[in-house]
Amino acid sequence: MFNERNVQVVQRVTDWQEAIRLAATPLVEDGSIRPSYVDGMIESVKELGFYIVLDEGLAMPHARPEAGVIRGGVSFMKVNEAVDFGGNPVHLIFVLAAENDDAHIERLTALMELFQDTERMDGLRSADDLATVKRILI
Amino acid sequence: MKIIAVCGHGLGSSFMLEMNIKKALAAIGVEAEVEHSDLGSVRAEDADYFVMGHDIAGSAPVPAEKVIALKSIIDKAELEEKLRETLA
Repeated sequence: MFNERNVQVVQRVTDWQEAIRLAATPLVEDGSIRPSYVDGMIESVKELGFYIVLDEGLAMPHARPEAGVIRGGVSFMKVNEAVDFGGNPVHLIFVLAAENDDAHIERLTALMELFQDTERMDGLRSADDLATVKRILI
Repeated sequence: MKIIAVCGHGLGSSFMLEMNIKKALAAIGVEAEVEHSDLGSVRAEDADYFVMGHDIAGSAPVPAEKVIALKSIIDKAELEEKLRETLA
């Protein structure tokens, strides 16, 4: 699910919108999503609220497939200085290019296993460099 | 009894929540039908309880007494505790 190209670590971002844009960049660059999907994720939050904050410090931005998914996938970005998502300080951002198919369900299942794996998640929370993040995710 | 996991779009976090609810119900020994849906299409009569993140609990078009709001979609302990409080 994760590889050399879809994980990033940044020191800080200006706001949650920039965080989503940056975190989604690998998926735009590898042709998984159109830029319109990035706008879709941001618009969804404005419209529906911060339902993408799944746990303390953890956000999973996503939108409807019709917003511009070409093929399903994920990308990860660690922000060392917490960014505010509607009152929630967030460090870990998993962008989900959502599809309505079996691969999507497998991807969600794998992500949930990761999110419930305290050891790996604590590792991601304390990691501040790319090498450590890659070791945990790839 | 029927429980619906709700999120903004009905295909990301709510699906994850549905998986967790099924596991939590098994753990506390309660039987229920579990589905997932999105904020825009749920209706009060669709289920006995609606589980969702606290960020969207206020904007769900269902009565507050049917809402189980969670701090975390991930935390199994919180989910089990809240389901047990409400259902047992």
